[in-house]
Amino acid sequence: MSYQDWVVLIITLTGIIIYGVYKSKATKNLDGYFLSNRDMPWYLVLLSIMGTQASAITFISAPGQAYTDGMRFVQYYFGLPLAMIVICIVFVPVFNRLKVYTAYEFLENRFDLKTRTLTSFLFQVSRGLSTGISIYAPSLILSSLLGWNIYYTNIIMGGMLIIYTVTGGARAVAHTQKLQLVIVFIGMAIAGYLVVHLMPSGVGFMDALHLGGKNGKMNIITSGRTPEGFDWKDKYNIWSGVIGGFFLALSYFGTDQSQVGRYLTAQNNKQSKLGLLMNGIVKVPMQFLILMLGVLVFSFYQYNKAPIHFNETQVERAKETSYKNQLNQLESEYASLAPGDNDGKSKIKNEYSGVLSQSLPGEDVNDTNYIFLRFVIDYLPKGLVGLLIAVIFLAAWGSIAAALNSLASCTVVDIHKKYFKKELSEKEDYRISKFYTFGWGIFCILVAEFASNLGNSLIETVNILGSLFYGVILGIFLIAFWFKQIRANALFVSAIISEIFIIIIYNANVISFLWLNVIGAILVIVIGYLLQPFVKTEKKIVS
Amino acid sequence: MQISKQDKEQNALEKKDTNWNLFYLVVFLFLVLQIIFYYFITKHFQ
Repeated sequence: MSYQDWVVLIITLTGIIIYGVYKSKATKNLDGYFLSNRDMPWYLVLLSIMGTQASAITFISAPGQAYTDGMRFVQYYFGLPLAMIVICIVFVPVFNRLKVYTAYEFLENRFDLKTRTLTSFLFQVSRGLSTGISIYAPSLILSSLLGWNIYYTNIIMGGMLIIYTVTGGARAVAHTQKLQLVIVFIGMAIAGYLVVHLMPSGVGFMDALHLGGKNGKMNIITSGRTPEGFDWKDKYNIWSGVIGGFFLALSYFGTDQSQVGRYLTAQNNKQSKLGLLMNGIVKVPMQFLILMLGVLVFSFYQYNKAPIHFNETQVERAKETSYKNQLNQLESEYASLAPGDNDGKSKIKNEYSGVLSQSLPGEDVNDTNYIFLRFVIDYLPKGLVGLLIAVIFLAAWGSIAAALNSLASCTVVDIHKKYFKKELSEKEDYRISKFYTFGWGIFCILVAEFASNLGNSLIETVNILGSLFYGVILGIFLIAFWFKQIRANALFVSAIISEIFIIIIYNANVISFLWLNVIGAILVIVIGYLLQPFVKTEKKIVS
Repeated sequence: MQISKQDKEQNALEKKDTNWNLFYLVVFLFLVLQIIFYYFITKHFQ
């Protein structure tokens, strides 16, 4: 990076931290720290919801995904608007009426303490680990592309935001997310403009899309059907997107405290609902545009020489092994191909990846996540590279800060104040809330530091991890809302059995991960229903 | 469905200043229109 890039990067990141600390005037009690005194207008709720969902991985991986697999990934978000409607009708009124701090608090009202604790615990485990991955994933990419030390990058990626998240709680998180999103959108819009601008003269936006379309990158809607019938292992198609995506979004926005905690900060029901519904309107087009950026980058590389592998550091390491000659040979063959010979390129790239795999055993040689940033570093002007790197940090900070805030709220409200010290003064509440926020920050950085090779596309790793727990947690909430005949003990046993089933199904690798949400939710309900007649009932229903 | 009387009353009160059902319909229709639009884009650029 040039010194101009460093200046832009440092000023942007420092500016956000200062702004976050400036906005840290939280009232020193639980309501002020975790819910910003429930005083947020809908547009701040909207930006906070969006900033929490869109992590660094979203902005790094999505264009790369469109580059390699086309735009069909957008279908993954089709169930989201429908989920927003259901959450507004069912979840929001109940959460707001009960004035809960966490979504799991409601489960104690409806069932019992152990159900609340189990669900909160599942959330804390999955969110704690996935936040660690959210730190590690962009750090790995940046450190690899820019030659930075991965351990220090993890600390900056996950550590700097702790300053304002600990001091300012939910209020600082929401206000910084607002600013972060503005910068992220400006950065991505400039990148989009420049990709088209850098095309050869005479090639415009529509030409670039046509070129992408000719190469199968504009496959926005896919049916998942093959000559043999519906492909259940196909990750993204309209059915898995609408149905699986609906259950995933319902679980994520309705039962994941990192999102519930955002709309609980709203002034009232109306502001919460407006924020959620507006998210249902803007999310799919936003994701569409980010993916389109990937198609434009693909078209750009039809006129410019694309690297045979976008992760150069990995190639350099592979060339230190005995496979050097094989790799050089494939590179020469690749260079001799005509620019438009995509079949030939793809064949040699596959061979190249195979040799890389052999030379670096156990390493993930998928370079999807490196495509967009490689383009940024190689082709964008000085200063803008720094801005785009800052965009990655800010996107990461937005989602990590919300995760830390929600993890701390669950540990304080669902665990500490239930099992350790029930009666605390407002000052003590505030003090332990800050302590747990800091503690979760350190935990997530440690997860990032110890994270090893994570398999295929990083965005999927995070989603898969969520999907293992999300379906079951959603099932618990659906029973709470709609199946009053199922009581606490039957539900508790059912949730544990269902979770074991989900892990078995995932390991058997017979179905795409998006369907695990649907299966998990249905399993909890069905098993709970079957178990209820045989389990002793002891708790009244609180509605 | 276990939505309490208070929630129903709260929803009814809010209906006075916001027609939520209309808003839900707009969100739903916007999704449907997008899917149709994306379908035609997919066909157009093939």
